[in-house]
Amino acid sequence: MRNIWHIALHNLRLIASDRGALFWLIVMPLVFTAAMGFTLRGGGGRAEGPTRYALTVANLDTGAAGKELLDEIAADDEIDLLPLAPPDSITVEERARELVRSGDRSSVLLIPEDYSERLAAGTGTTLEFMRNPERMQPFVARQVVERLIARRNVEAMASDGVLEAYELVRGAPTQEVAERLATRVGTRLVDGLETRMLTVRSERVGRPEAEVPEMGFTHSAPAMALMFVLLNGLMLSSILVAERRDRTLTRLMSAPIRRGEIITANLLWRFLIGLVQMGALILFGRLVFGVDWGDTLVGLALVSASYVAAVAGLSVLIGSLSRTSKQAESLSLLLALTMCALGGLWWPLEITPRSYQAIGHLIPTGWAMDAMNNMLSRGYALERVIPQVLVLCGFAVVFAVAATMAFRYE
Amino acid sequence: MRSEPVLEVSNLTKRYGSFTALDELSFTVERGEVFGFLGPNGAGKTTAISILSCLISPTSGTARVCGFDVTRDSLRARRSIGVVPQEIALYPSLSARQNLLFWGRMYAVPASELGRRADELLGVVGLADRANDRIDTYSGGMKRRINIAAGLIHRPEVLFLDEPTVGIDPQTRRSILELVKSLNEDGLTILYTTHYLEGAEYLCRRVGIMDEGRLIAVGTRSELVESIGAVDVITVDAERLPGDIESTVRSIEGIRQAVVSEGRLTLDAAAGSESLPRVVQTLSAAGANITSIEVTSPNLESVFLHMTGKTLDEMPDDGE
Amino acid sequence: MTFLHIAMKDLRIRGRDRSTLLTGLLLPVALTAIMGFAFSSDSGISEIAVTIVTPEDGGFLADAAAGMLSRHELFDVDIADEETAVEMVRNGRRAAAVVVPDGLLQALEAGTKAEFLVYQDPVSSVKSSIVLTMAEQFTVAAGTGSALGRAIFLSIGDERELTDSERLALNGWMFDWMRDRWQNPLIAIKATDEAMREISLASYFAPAFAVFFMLFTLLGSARSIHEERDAGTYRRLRSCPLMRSSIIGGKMLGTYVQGALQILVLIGLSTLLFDLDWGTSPLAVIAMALATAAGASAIAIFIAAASRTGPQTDQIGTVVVLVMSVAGGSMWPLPRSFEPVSRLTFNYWAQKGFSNLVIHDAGFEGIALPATVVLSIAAVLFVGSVLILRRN
Repeated sequence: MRNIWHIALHNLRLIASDRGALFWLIVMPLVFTAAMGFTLRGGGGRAEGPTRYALTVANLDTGAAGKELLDEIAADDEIDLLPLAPPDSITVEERARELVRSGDRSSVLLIPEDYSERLAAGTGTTLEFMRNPERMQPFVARQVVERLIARRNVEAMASDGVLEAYELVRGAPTQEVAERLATRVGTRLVDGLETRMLTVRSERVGRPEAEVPEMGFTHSAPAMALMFVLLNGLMLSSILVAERRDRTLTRLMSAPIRRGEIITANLLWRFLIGLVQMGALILFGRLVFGVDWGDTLVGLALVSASYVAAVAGLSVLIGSLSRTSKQAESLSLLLALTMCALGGLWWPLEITPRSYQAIGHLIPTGWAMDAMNNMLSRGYALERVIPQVLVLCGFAVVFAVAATMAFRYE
Repeated sequence: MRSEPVLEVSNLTKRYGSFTALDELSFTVERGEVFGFLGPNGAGKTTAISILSCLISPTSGTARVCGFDVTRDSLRARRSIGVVPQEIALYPSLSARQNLLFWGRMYAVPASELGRRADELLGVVGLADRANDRIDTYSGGMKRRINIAAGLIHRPEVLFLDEPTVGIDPQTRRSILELVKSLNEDGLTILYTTHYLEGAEYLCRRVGIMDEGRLIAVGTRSELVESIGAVDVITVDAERLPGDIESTVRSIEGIRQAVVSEGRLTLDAAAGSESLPRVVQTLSAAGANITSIEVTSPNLESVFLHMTGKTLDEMPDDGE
Repeated sequence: MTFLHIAMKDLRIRGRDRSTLLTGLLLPVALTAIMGFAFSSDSGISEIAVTIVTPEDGGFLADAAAGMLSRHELFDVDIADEETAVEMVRNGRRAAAVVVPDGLLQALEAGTKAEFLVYQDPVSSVKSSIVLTMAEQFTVAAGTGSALGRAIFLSIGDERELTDSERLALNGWMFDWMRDRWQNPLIAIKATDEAMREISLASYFAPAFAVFFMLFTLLGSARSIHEERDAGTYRRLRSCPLMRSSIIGGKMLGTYVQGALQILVLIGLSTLLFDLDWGTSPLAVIAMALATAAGASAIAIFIAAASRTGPQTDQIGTVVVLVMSVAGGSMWPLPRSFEPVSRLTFNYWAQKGFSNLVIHDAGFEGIALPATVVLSIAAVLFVGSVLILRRN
């Protein structure tokens, strides 16, 4: 035990005195986390965007209906209407297409020149919504336009429908009756639409809304913490390679120390560094960005510890298998980034195929992210994250055993 | 064939702020000669080599290599020089042959000749059968040999060898010294820096002794030895040497110089056999436990000791 | 000519370095493949597990709501009571549960309000948001339909109160009429995707990954400036009859050629493996790749030149590359307000050039501005590097 502790402490001292190592282990993750937090807070983030959606309208209609629609779009709170300068040598339509194709505008709504005419005749018309498939905004802008058009459609349906219905049950109405019906149905419709009869309320199951702030970053904070601990933890594998190269490991092996003690010490110091890192990132997230890490601190600690243990085991395994430091670093980078991608650290696993999700649960990151989601979003108590903790411990054991078998001192 | 010296150094000085690394260094090296620089770390040997290799400029003084001034005509000077640095300045992931071809190109060796020359040198250094193996698979001695070969690829007129035998076993060291000797026998002029006595004594016709940036003596081995008078070197290994033993022993008649270093007492004596009994008596009286005694006839070590008051053993075996 | 030999020597050394191949080629390809897999068409979005809680007296509207979701290929629907449904959401077995309110039809007929409740799994925020949106769309459509129906009924009733048979007849007519009119509205909207090409998802990611990892591997290359100095080979080079500019030029050329080869190979590999379509102008692709390589190698060399040691190159270089990638929008989408900042980064312009080729098939016209910016960055930084290296 004493030997294990001495070796571990020695390595920790070496790391602590290496400014470069401290930079990678502490400064870099905090800087990156801060950068992410600052760019994503306040309504940013993956699924969210600006609250006003850019839209350009090309109104070719000469009548009043087109102008009315344009004015309504301009007045809508969710739309940021962009002007369309009249082109010189090409048609407005060609100009509109050009703007969208080039990416200058994300979407252009084209109101055709016979819009008013066809509405008046009741023959139906089609608006063209040109969109740039690269951007998110057109999808929302289109919904706003559809909402405004739906209103008109319903009004037209009402005025047509009331006459049709009347004729069905009472025969064709007189001119006078028809006018009364048209007026009345319009008023009734407005009254009816004003008050939404059917509404939807949503409720998050798990943690109350108030405890989960609507900031894209806070949902990513646990993923970032897991990612950095993994990346840095695996990169520490190159130190084992360097010890082999410098023959200090050979020297250690020729001392009265058991092989198992050396391996355990290597696991231990990596584990301790990982814990410190995880703790620093959790604290940083809490203090600077108000990240809420769930209701169970013990659960958080257990998940963190078991995850870090798995990472430490994998790190020693990579260090045992690699022949050069560069090889260890490259392999670590490859494994870390693919495990982040597959484990749901970069995007939620819920949007991926079942097979992808299955692969994500063959690696520690998938389970660690599950545990984090369960604690932070679903508000699971400690006992409900124990299965994930046990799986992570299992990974730790498997990696440690493999590392022991692969371990060599030269 | 030119008759002027291959190397002409006159009052060469290099200062870094208030520190003087080289102080008015002057010497010449004749064609076909092996000239050695002997001195401890920090003596200025590497600074001198760096200036002669056109890597740094002197503060004052001049140096000419094959008639070309190293400052004003550095490109032409460098064409005449072959450099074998102390560190293994080769590309580890390339093979020996690839390294030689690359360095040959850097010296503009014609492509038609380069391959042949590389193969020739690989044969000379005895590594023809490992030509296509990566340098990082070589032993230390093998790396040193390719290091030398790389300095010869362009058939220089003078070769600067900076501590070529550091960190290798005695047998390999010997083989490298033999190699250098054979190069010289083929007519190559060599400037050889070392703190290994063996190399300097074996190879060099003349030796310059440097210390603290100054060339304190130059001459052939016998000239240098004679300059300090006939002195024997008495080497005593002992335990429990008292702290003041140097001054005590110096007071013995016939003892000219005494230096203690790590349990070893090195003495200059006018007549070693005559002084020896008194030395033993003095040491025993002082309570020292003598484990070995050796008396050797004068050599460069004694010259060095006499002139600098230091032994060559005081210097760490890892070069500057 | 010696600078060519120096460049070739560096390329040979880098080519033998398996870790460069791993990081520079395998990793970006692997990540592109993973992303393509993650966002492939048979994604998890097609399997949204939803539980619907319908009241016993819900009537046809409740059935319509349940039916609407069931028929949609996106959803995998089952029915349960509210307690069971909430538990399944809590356990993560359902993305959401939709509770259809009691007495829905009666409420609508009477003109009173009714509220749907959607329980969302906070972990399945994307899927549950889709359910929520569908529920909202349903309620809007149903509410609108209800208001329309009521308006028509009441308007006719204002003339003279409806008889039971009239009411029955109107009920029978209303649903089919409404459905026909919904499907053929007065004003329709047709969306056209301008310059929409068959773009695989990998087309978006492959250039971004290529640029990102190229920056890192080139940092490793440029770092050799320090490694040669530490190993003594730089000193040896300096003692050769070479101009210093040959040494510097050779180093720069080697780094650039490595970058160019790397990105061209990546483009080739990505095209083969992921069936990417780079547009109708392969020359424009090559031109953009070469320009990008120039910019990336210039950045790497400048960082190495400005650093004092190899490890410092790594540290400063990593911070710079990560900051540029974040600010350039390579890592995650940034709010619109960040665009002016993004435009200051190399990543933004490199990716812009490639996306113009991939998405718009814009050819040389599409890469003119991005390539110009990227080459300008390269020119400025190459000059800066030479000045620093000569001084040091």
